[in-house]
Amino acid sequence: MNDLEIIENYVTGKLSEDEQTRFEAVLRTDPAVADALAFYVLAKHTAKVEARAERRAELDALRRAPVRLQWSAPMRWAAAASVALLLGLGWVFLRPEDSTLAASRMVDEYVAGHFTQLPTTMDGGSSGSPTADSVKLGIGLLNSDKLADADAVMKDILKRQPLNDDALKVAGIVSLRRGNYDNAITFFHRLSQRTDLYSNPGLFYESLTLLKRNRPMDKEQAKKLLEDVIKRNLEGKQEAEALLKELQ
Amino acid sequence: MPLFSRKPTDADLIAGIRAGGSQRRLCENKLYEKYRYFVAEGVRKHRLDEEDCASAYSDTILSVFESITSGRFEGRSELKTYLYQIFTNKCVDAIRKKTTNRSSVHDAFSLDDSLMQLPDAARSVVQGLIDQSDVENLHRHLKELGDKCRTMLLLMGEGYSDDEIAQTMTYNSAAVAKTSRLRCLEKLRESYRKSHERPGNN
Repeated sequence: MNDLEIIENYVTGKLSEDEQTRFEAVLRTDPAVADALAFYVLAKHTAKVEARAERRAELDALRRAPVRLQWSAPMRWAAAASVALLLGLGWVFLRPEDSTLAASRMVDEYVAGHFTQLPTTMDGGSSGSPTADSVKLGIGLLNSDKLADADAVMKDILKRQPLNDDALKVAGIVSLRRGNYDNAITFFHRLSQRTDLYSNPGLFYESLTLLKRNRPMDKEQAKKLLEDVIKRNLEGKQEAEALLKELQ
Repeated sequence: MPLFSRKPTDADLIAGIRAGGSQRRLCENKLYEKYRYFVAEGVRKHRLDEEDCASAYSDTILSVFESITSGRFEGRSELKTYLYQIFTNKCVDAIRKKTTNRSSVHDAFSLDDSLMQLPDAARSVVQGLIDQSDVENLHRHLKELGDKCRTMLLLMGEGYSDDEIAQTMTYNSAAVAKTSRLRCLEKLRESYRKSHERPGNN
């Protein structure tokens, strides 16, 4: 055991009572032991001061580091949910617009521009005939937004004249505006089958309705019909080209 | 610890600091971070600038670490209350220091504190020797001692046991750490003595 170890045992109270008494006796008479004890006390104190200065510098660095928020588990879950919600909303509002949605919006614009106020000049027969009057009545109801009444009138005409082109057209438009896409497609399809008409928008209207209905195969079917409209130079060709461009 | 919460309680931190080893520093840092908002409170309440408050807070925390490891903090009051009381005193000292240019009575421990820990018989013998000693010179020698020895002695200064030093510095046992530490102390004594023997050298 060297002198520093004995001194350390003395300072830390690890010597027995006898050993302590003997050590203190030597301490009083031997300057070298007193010097060693003084050095031990001083060295330990110096180490303590140095350690404290270093620790303080570490704590200061900790203070200058950015604050890490200590969130509880529910807070973390809430934060995660909020981030997910924001990402979801961001996706909904900021994502690149889907071609089908863009086409659907074009259809809406077309419907708003062409199907809310129909001209009453079209008729289902010669002026003054009961069918022509009924078609005018139906159009008047449609223009007044009385869609259910207009629907009833048109269906009544079609019972009597299933191939009446004006009735098919107006019945299809009424169904489209009411969101009854299946019926609208049926009416427009039947209209499109009329090959004796000078101008037939049936195929174009059917494609519009398919885009609105937007079932799994509707988009592809609408594209085929639009291509057909362009190819056969049918009514709605210009709009069909614009829509097809959007759907590419 | 409460469910859904990872924030350690004061009791957790005190236990971690007292447990020593690698846990000690981690828990000390967590304790520092837990109450560092005191700094902002000090700025508002005592109208001190942030650096002075941060300095008072660091002093407070270091004193509290020491109180915890030495067992002086017995847990009779809440740790937060204890800490806040010391911090307030440090802030008042900082104000006094600023206004009167006097050093604080609560400044870092003095050499007298170390002497007070000696048995009475020894204190009177070494008092004079210590008064004559060149503390600055010893600080310099400690800095130049070499990383390993310096780290070891600083850990001793912080009150780490030989067992903790062995764990921290990957020695095989506390006995090996103790032998190495005493050798480092001897090395420091030799360099300190030599500098006094060389004329013209501090």
